[in-house]
Amino acid sequence: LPTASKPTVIAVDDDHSIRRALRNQLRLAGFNVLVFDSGQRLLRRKLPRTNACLLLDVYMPEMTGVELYQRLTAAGRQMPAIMMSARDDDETRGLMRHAKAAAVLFKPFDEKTLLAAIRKVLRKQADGPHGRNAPKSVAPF
Amino acid sequence: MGGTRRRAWRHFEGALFVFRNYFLALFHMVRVMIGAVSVSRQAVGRADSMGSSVIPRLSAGGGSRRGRPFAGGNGSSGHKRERFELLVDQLSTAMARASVDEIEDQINHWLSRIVSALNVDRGTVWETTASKNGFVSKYWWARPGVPGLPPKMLSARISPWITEKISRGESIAFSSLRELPKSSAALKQFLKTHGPKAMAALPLEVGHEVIGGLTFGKFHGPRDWRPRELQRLRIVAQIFAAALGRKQASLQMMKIRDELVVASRRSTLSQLTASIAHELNQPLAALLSNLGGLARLLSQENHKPAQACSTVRNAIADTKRAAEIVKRLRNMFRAGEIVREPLEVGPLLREVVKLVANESMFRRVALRIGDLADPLWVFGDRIQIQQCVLNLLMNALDAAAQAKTPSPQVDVTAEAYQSGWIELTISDNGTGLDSEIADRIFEPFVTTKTNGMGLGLLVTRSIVERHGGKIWFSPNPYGGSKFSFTLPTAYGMGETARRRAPEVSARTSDLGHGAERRNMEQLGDAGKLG
Repeated sequence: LPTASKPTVIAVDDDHSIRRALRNQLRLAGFNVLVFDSGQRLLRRKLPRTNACLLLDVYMPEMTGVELYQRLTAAGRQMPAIMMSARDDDETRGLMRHAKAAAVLFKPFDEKTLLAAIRKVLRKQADGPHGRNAPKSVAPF
Repeated sequence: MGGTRRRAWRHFEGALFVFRNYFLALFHMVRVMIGAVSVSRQAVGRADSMGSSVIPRLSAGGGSRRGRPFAGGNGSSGHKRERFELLVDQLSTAMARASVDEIEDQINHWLSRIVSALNVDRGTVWETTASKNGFVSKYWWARPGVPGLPPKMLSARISPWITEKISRGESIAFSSLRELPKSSAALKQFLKTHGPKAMAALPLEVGHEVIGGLTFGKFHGPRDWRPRELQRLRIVAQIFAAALGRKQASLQMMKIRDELVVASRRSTLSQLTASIAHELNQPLAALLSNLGGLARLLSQENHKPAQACSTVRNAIADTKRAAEIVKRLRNMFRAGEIVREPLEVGPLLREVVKLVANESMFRRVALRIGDLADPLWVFGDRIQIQQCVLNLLMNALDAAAQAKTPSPQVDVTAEAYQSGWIELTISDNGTGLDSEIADRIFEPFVTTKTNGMGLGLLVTRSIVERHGGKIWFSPNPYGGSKFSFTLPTAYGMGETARRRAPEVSARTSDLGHGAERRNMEQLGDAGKLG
């Protein structure tokens, strides 16, 4: 497959070993992978706009995944996001819901779950109003 | 919401249980004290009321019929009785004065004196077994040449008959084996070869509860027990019982205090469940992700042994990290023996900070540990000291998070305090305490939290004080609260601990003892030259 058509997963996690593992795993599964250790670093970078999704850890020291997502949205850089957390409780689920995450994952998750979430989110994006698969023109009648 | 309430209720139940035990122990102690006072009054009253009509009848009846030595009221036995009475008085005074720690030594000492004064061969104090199926030998004293007792000898194995009588609160005295009932032929046989030929056995009672027994045996030949003598022995038994009861109550109190410390630790642990699960899930997630990648690497037939190898290595590192977390938690929350040892403050604090790092992240509080320029060493129990730091840290996190300041923050610092002491301080920039609450903050059930029992600081104080230190509250000059406590320095740990003392003296002398400081400096210089 040509590299350009590979979807991109942009993962943000403050945990080094998780970044390392996710990068290897997702590359082997056929994705382009970008990893960041904090929201601040991601905000400074130019990101692909289509055929890409975010994989955001909720609890990070300086800026939470939820805040990062809100900042991106506010800056007009919409992108579907999967929220992930090692903490599974009402409070965290509430945060994720509030952030309008396209999918949620609780660590530890297996590859099947991870890939299913990524594919679902990418498909949604492609079918969405600005997506690749969106109808080019709408019939007036 | 429901979860929070359930959790709060569980805490409440746990604390309630601990407090129930606490009050039961208090009640027991009070009962022992009241028992001791009323018992000695009764005993004296009863001894006096025995009077002349009872004693002559019994002693004449027993004595003249068998015609044994010591029987009857001749001059020499009268003299002996007086000496024994004096001894009982002394015993009473000594036991009343003895601290709980001295009771054991006192009992051993007085057993020997009573055995000598009674002209018997062995005296034994028995304790009721935990399962209440009899007694075990606890203290004994025997004349040279007289057999002792193996430790924890079960009384029921020697004589179920005597054991049962004493358990019911009855006394037994026999002057010779011939007086034993026919039913106890086995006992008779045993005593004939091994045991005493005459014996007095009395229950040790606190209130109406038999907590043990007291026995005196004569191994060589028979011995008569005069009623007056038995009366005195009953008083001895009451004095011993009161002392042992006091000791038991104190042990129970200590046990309950330890339980409270452990219960408080467990309650803190339950508050940290979410962050502990979070901490453990991180390496597990990395592990699962690494293994997912590895499976793909091995199945795709794109053999990249180097990449597979590094993935396995990463997975191993993740597993070790998970195991490390479990080990750290076990270390922190085990309820084992209290071990006092030299401890370096830095690693000790860092371990606790690591434990609450996630919690502070969840609550968006910046948690900082101050620079420890020199290694500081304290002497104490690691788990208990960490529990103090943990309690104070959790309180500080609560206070900082609730205050809704733009940048909530908690600081942990440690420094040399006065010669021989290290001060640890946990401060927050939260709402602080009203002066009215601040004065009572170390008392039980005083809390500013809606879901707290107000036991954390009580336990913290009890731990600090058991280490010989002190704990205090002061308002944080930058807003919020500051809790400090001191622990003894562990001397001889590296050069630092030894060097530290003069340094600190020099600092305190800043407050106006200029001359002293100069002397210190001179001393320091002299030291260098030497």
